[in-house]
Amino acid sequence: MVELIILLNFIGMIFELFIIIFAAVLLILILKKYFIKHHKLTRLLLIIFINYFIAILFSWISKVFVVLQLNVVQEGSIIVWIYNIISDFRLSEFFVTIAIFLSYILKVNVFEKGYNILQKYITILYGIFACVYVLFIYENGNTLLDIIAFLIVFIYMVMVYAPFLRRSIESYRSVEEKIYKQAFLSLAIMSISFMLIFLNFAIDRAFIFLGSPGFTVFYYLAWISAIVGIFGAYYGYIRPKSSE
Amino acid sequence: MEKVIQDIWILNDAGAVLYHRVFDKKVDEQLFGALMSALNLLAEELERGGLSNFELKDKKYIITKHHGILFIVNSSKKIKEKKVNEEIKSIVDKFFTLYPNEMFKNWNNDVSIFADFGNHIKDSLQDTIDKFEKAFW
Repeated sequence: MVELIILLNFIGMIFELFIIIFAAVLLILILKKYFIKHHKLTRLLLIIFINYFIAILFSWISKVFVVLQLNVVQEGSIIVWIYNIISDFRLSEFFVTIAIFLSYILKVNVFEKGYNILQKYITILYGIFACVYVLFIYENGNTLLDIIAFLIVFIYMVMVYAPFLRRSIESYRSVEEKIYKQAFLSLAIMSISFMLIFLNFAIDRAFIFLGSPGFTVFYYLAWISAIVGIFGAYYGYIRPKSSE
Repeated sequence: MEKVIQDIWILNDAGAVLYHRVFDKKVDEQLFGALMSALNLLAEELERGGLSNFELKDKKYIITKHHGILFIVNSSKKIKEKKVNEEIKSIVDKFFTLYPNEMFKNWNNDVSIFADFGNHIKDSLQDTIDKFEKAFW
């Protein structure tokens, strides 16, 4: 069983390495775009994807821990806490939560004429709740708490990216120029993909809860959604060139 | 990039044009005959803050009245009515935010104060595309 878990983690580690490469390329392209545009929204997009990148990196590190059989034995120390929140994806979830909140700011800035006060406070409060949960509501080996953590982040994703999806589709339908149509469609695909990532991870964890060693098809679907989302972001934000 | 709302006329009860934005100058002469008869027909509904529309050639004209101020806009027939109505609402709200109803009680008929209204009423789709162009595209 131990060998099987190490092997599955090794496969996951290699798979996530490809995701890291895709994300790094996208990050470099956004950085290049920022140097060209010097716009606050480009900077915001850069910070969002830095957070997503760090999240993927910590997920990969968690696989490295298992493959290299790195364990921390100092009970109750902060190092153990850091080790646990890395190995159980919690630190990744924290960075994703930050990225989602920043995505909300981006969404309001590009698609809306201002903040809806109630929506703003709900988004802030839920974000704080999600951060506290993923970092502190933890018990080593308690998969149920992990499933809840994934679902909390999934709900946050839906709260921010479902309106983003709706706005992208509205813009896609209203605009006539092909280049803009493609861009808004890509952003719509990106939004769907991002929402699916955490839904798939939650299902994968549910299988672990039921006795599976994990790394089910849903784990791979989650990362495939991430790849689709990265391409959606590229074709939505980076690739289109305005005619002006 | 086609705007959701193209031409705009804002008139008061006395018929003075407070603000207008006309992209297609040919529209004026064609418009007013049809417009006035339509207004007569629709006056009652407009008084209740309703919203009426008629089509002329390839354009759809929408008329609405709020606090005695008449808003007349046109848009392409291809644009969905819901989208146009959202934009009109946004224009009306913006107008009364900038020029509150009370202001008209002491107004000295100087229409120049409405001259910069155009800077405040970019339509939301155009606004979104402008932002994407500035930041990303």
